Amino acid sequence: MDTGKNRLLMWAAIVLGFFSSIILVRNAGDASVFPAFISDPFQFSEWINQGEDWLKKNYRWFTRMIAGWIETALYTVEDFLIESPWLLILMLFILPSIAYGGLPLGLLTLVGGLFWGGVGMWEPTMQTLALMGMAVILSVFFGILLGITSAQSDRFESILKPILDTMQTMPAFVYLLPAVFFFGIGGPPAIMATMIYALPPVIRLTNLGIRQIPAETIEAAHSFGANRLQTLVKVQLPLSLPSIMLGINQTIMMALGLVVLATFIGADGLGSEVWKAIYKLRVGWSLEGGLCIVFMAIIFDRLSLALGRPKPSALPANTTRFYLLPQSFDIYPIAKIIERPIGAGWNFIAMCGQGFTQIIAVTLGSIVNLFDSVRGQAFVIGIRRHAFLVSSIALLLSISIFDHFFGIGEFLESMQFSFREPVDNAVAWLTVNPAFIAFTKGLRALVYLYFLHPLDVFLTYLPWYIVVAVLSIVSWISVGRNFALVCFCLLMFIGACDLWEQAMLTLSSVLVSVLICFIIGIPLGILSTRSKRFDMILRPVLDAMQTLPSFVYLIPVLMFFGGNIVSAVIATVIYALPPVIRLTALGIGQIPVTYTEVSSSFGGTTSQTLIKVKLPMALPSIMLGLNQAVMMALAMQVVTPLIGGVGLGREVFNALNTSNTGEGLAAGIGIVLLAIILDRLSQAWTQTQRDALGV
Amino acid sequence: MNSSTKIVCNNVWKIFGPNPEKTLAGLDHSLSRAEILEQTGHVVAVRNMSFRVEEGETFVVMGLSGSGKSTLVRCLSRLIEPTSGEVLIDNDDVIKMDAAALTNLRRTKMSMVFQHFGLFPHRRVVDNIAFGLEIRGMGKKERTDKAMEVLEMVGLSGWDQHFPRELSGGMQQRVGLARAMAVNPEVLIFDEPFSALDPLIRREMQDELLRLQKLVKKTMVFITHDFLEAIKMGDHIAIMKDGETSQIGTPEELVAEPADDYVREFTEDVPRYKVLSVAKIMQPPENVTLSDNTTTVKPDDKLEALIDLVSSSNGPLGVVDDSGELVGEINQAMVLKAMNSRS
Repeated sequence: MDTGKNRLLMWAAIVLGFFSSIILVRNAGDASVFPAFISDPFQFSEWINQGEDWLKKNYRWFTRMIAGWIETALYTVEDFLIESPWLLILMLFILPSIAYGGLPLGLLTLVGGLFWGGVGMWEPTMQTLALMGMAVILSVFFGILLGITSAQSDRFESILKPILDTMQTMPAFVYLLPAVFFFGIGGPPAIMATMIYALPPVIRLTNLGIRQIPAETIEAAHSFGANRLQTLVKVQLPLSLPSIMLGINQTIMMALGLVVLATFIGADGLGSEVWKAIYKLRVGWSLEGGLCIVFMAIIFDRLSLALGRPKPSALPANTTRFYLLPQSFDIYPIAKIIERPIGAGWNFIAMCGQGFTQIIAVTLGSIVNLFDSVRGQAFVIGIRRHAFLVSSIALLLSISIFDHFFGIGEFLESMQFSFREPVDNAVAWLTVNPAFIAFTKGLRALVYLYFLHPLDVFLTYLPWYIVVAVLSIVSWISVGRNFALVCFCLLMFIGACDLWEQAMLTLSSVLVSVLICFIIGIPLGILSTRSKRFDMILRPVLDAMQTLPSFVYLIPVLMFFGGNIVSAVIATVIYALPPVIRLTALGIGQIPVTYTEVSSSFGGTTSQTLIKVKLPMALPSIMLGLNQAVMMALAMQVVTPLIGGVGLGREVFNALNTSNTGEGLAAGIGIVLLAIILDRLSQAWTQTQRDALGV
Repeated sequence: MNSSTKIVCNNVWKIFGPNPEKTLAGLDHSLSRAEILEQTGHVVAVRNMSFRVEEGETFVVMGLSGSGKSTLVRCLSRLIEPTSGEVLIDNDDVIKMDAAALTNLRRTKMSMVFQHFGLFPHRRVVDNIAFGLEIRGMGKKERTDKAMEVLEMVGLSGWDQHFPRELSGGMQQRVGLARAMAVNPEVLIFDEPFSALDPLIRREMQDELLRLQKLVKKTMVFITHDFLEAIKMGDHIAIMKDGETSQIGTPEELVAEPADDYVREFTEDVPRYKVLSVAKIMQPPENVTLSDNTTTVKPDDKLEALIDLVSSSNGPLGVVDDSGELVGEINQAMVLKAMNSRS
């Protein structure tokens, strides 16, 4: 391949296209319209709606049956979570947090739980939890099953792998549309969609976990005559458990992301609280809901990661000293003032627990001793070893008994604290503050006038055939002839569905968002490689940002910028920023010191080294960041209409609101098709950069 | 077939590639392994191997890496399916066994020790050792007792509750050995068991295995790439090259009469006095007669044991077998000449 010639061709095509389109744009007075003779006979959304009607008529009993099962199970779980005394449920989360993640995680769970109750969102939180729990259980069950199968059979793996690859490039909401198509709206379709969406990581990591076990270990099992089942249960599964747990962690996080989003198809819970709040422009309310989701995400992330780590064998209190803050904070006296009393209090509780277990162990042990003295001894030791479990069960039992006689009931009125009013007031004050108005107006004008509007106009006014031609040619040069053909067909499909203008608006806001991501993200990434302290602050922030569902990002943007097109872009930028920063920092960080030394030995200044050596060498990694940012920005398009986003996302959004499955599906497919094109193109560019560097 | 023969391999072939059976059927036997790979795209890992292992002996398969020795032993228990041939264990053809019979064979008759130990990292030492028994369906108490017994035999009592990663390499392989012996198999297969260990630990483990072998007297098949180890451990040794046997014999036969240059090269580093025995170098008795004051030696004495005796005597020594008959004579010159490896 003559890459130099190809590149020249590509640039020539782009420049030519650009100039010819400017001329065409000037001459044409109106936005480009896809020809009616193609789009009129192609009534995709009509066909889908007819299909849905037909399906409803003929197979309703079947989907109803499945939905019925799921609904029954969901209501059972939901009733248990909501009807049980809140203290019992809270303890059910805190105790495993302490057992596996130590006291800090236990305290985090405690704070989170009190927050849920405190802001009066206990019930929606439990609803979200029930939805997520059901989806995760189903996902994990089927995921492990499929993972095991694909670890056993190479053929099955080779069939499954491309499916999983495709699934993971799809934006989350895409799964909601077929769920509505088959199961209507409400909890069951939300669970089905979430289950399928969250399936890939468990399958992958189960498969990987089993496959990475050394062949000799498996051979050893076979050589002792273990059959397939025995090898699986006694060797392969236990050894791949850490990997499977990592998969479950990812599944939980994905499930939470979609369950919150599933409010679009009528699922209850925190998502619907936030949605209602945003709809009524009640910022304080939405902030409370959003923070509930944030707590949930962080707690479940930490807890499921902790479950995957080998458990400390002794009671956590046996660790000599308790740290709540990072250990480097130990030099400040404030750390001791905070930590000492908590540590002491915990030690006291642990002591009580152990004392209690001791009493139980000795009592039961002496009863057993009457019959069999050897067993009795072992019994006492066994109970003592499970001191934490025994005292936990006792605690849960006593809460239940207490509730039975006295009734714990609802979350205490006196423990509630709502900060809706103050937040609303603060926002109200801010929005009339002239300095703030100047700032937001300026930013809005900057983004709108110089980025968004010109590109919007350019893309929508550009004749459709030029866009199709340019994208197809770029695909041909970057990826290959086959993909150019695919790209052409996909674009024609979007046009035939009468979605051309929306698609161009989406494309424009995605491109603008990604561009701004790079303008902000690359300097931040560079900065974090230069300053350790900055990196130390940035890292946990990015960690937290990457665990949060996309939904949450709307709230602060709404607070400060209100609802409009630019807000939608800002929310998208915030959501898609972390990978750009991360991958820039990673790309620069992994360059061997030698190259920097070479550059400075020739007298290169810091900025010369950066521009001439580091950035070019980090380019593959940065391009990967481009790929991820584009995909995340596309995924965000469905959420941003809540605060004023336009384009295909708004079509999906409106269609879901009016239960027009056909139009929703058509617009959703449109986003997916754009995703496919942009994904392949940016991947190809990443690969080109890699090849150029010989990585 | 001899009643005490434990394992017989007849014309075992193993060919790796997309279509091994067809390749074998149309194989030009005069071609070398490299030529076959080039022409058919198939790798001949084991080529027409035949040997027999007597009950209670240690049979060593020695070869360099890539010679097919690991593949060969895996064919014995069908961890790798041979392409063709016959493997008889106690006169039963392993190749013809159905899955149930094969599982039964693996559970009761043979067990294996692996190069990188193959210990299960998620199980404690005692549960590792009890694995074979657990697979058989033995109760927990019984198998734990048995495991502790074997653990003591390999000198690791007190380590039962540790995880394998907490043990040194030598100790880990002792656990591997204990795991194999816990099922009380008739045949033990060792796949380069000591090659991952330090030289000193390796020697210690070899001695340990020889000691245990005296105790339990199992039939052993032992794979190694170390000729000195082969000579130390083996009653019979098969030397493999490119999937084929170069020579099969006792250590002494290999050292005294190497079949080809390939085998001779290995024998060059061998301290010959440790391997050669009187019977191999003696000449017919000409200068000695049997009388009361003649110093005599036995035919199976190793030269190593005679060095003092020969160097202090002037004349030839008589060689007398177990029945008291004079069968030959040796002298200083003959011993010295035999110890020169280039002879």
